Amino acid sequence: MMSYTDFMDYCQRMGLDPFSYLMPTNVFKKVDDNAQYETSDIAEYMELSDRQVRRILLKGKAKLIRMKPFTCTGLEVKQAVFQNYYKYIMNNFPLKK
Amino acid sequence: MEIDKVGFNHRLVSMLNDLGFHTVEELVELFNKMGYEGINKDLPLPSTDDPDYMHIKNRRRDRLASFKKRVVPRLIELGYIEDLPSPEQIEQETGRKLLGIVDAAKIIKCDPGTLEQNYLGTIIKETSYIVAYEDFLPHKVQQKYLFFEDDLKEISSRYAFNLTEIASELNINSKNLAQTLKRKLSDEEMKFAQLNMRHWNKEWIVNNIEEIISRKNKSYLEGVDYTIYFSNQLNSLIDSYFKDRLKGVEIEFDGKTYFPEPIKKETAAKRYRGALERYFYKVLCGRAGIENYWGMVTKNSFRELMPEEEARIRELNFDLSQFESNDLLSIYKGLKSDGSKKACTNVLKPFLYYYLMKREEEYYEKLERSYNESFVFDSKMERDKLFLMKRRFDKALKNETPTKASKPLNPRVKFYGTRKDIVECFKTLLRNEVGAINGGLRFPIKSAAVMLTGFLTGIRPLEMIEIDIDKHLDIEKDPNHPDFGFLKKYLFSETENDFVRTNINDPEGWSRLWIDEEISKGTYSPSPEYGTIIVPRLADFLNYYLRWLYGRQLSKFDKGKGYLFRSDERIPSMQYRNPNSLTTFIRRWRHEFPFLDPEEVSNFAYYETRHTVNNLIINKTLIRDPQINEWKVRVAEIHCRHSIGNDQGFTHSLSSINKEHYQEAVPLKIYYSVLKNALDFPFEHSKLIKWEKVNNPLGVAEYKGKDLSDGEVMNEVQIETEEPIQTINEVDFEAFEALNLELQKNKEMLQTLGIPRLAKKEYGLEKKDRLSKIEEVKKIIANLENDMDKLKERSLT
Repeated sequence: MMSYTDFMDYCQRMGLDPFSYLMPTNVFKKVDDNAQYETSDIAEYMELSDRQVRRILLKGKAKLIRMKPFTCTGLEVKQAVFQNYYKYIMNNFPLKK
Repeated sequence: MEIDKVGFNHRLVSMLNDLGFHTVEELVELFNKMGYEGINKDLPLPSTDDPDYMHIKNRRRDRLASFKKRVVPRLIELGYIEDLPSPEQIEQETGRKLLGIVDAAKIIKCDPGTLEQNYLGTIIKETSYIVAYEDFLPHKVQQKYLFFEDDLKEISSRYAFNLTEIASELNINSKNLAQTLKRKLSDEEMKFAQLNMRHWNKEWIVNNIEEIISRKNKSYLEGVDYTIYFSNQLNSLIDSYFKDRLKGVEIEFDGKTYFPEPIKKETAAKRYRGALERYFYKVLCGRAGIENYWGMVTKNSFRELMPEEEARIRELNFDLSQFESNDLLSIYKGLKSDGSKKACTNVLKPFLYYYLMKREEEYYEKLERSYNESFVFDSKMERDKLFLMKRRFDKALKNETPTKASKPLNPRVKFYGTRKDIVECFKTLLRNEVGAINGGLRFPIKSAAVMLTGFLTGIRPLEMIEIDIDKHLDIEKDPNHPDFGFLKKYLFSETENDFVRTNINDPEGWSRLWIDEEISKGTYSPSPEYGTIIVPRLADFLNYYLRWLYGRQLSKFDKGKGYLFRSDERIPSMQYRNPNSLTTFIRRWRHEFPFLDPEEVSNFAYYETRHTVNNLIINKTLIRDPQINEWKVRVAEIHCRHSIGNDQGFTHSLSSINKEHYQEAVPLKIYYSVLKNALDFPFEHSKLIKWEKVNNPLGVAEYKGKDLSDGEVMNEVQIETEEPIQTINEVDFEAFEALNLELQKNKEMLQTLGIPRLAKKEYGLEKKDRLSKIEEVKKIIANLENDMDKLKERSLT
């Protein structure tokens, strides 16, 4: 399974536009790698409930900054979301492993 | 023998007489023909609605019982009917259990009807079942066959797997496997491969899959064999001609050498042979007076002949010595351009001279014999005949062959792409977004690999299909190594003046391949000793491609073996028959390439990749080190493996003799340094433009359309500030500083906004407001950086 950083690396090296594959687009386009985000913030972008976002982040093994409120960095969020939507993202990606 | 003498009681005799039987032979014939059931043949069972149904049923039963219990045993006793064993006796003798057809069908997992119709004699062999009235005497009328249980169990265990299980063991998609079997197996083989939709013969499929895949499709049109119309003499002459040409025998006549060059490759000989056979077929058709024989059905075959036309050809006694100008004209039938007519003559002429040479040899042999033995031989006449023949051949070839090559209607325009074109082409293929007219690419990664390899190494298509992973690529060959089967990578070391091995994931790592003499075009353009070197991005991409390729091949094959580009990815040894079939996708796709003008589209072919790479190195690269810059032309020659001379009336600056004989070989260091500046360019757009400004300043203006330095991939691009700020002039320097200050402020702000607690404390922003502020600041930062870049460029120019 390809990681998010690998994916971005592939895209950049081969001159492909990553946003034509990544989904949900809002998360990957608007979230800043270094800023901190709470579940409610991500829920805004993904149009899901807090609880669903939390489940996605935990399933994707995102490292937390603090538990209450549930907070982690933008990069961690992106990685976890990438893992969650991996099947759909890779569907059209020509360089899948 | 009459019935009443056999010893039946009078009631039975009268019953048999009523039925029309008077002699024993009639009874025996009936039994051999229809078995027990024959006794009821005149009394068919009516439908159940019939009021007499029960009555007739009872009569049938009574008749059958008396026939079975009294008549047949007595006939066996008397020796009229063969004494067959009962099923129980067979079971006792063999020690194997027998089953009826219903139980057998349950074990095989089908219905009895299918078993009887399809499987007897095919899947269930003749030793696995016995037939009533041939091998045994049945107890029941309905018993036609009995089956040995152990054999059936063995069969059902053989067909225990479904297609998905077999496909996963072979590492193929199950749909794909089903399609292959359906297309390529004959009906009889299909019966053997498959019991029913869910039960398949795994062992047989696994053992034969390679052969099955490499078969031609059932619908494939076979090429026509025209040699059946030729005389034995002509056939053997063609055979010996190609043997000798491949061996390198020079074609001479009358002490003069006409064709000293041999045919170098077997593939070329095969092509010439096909052409020659077609020409002589045309000659025969022309002589037989057949009309419109030249209509082509496929690329290499003509229309089929009617039986009477065929007979006319067979009546001809064509001898090659009769060849004349009319024959050449009948070969030219159906050819439009002068070029193709000339090509005909080029194939035909050496063959005709070879025939003359053979006749001359014969002549001298006879002449020698006539001096030694009492052999009567008119040497003058024979010699005159020979020379007259040569004269006739020459005249035909000279008079009928067009001398001047006519100008083509659509002159070929070469296309020399830019670096951006390479990237666009590559990206278009990878994206595989296509309208309905073209149809999508089946394997975009493969097509992209073919094009990128062409653009960055300049390998010809006829070499491309021959590249063997094991032989020609520099791959890791140790099976215990984690990178087994993938391209090795190297960094150039200044101290050692050579490549030094590095990690396979190193983004700066180069690699290499060798096009050896055997596979190179005309055997005259092999790679140099240190190989044709591959730039890091292509090495990376070829490794992606190899990973994909190994994933697709059958599980029984090892990594690192077979052809790089295969006509069927599942089998490593499947080679393309024709280089064109590897690159046909370009014809369908060139309309999609955004960089081509409408006139260029119809001309764009795979060979443009070679034009592009050569032109990029020589004309579109500026190397700051003047000494290395001088080497560009030589490096381009080495990289593209050709010698530049006179090309379409334009002679290039260096003569080939100068390069070949009066200069030292290109050192690896120079080769590396030139390619590093010419082909190791980034694919990401904004970086590419920056790179071009340094390495090809003139070329930047060539890029058409808008400058895509907008926020397309700006998020991920880290902008490099390598160029020294000192060069900016004083007026711009202040503006630059101001912008820089603002940039730092915004960056700090973004950092604070990143942490929710601080954002609330410093700016009083929460939740949605904070998020929108972050996006806003990010945009401002991107704009500032853009402005700074523009400022820097302006002051530098």
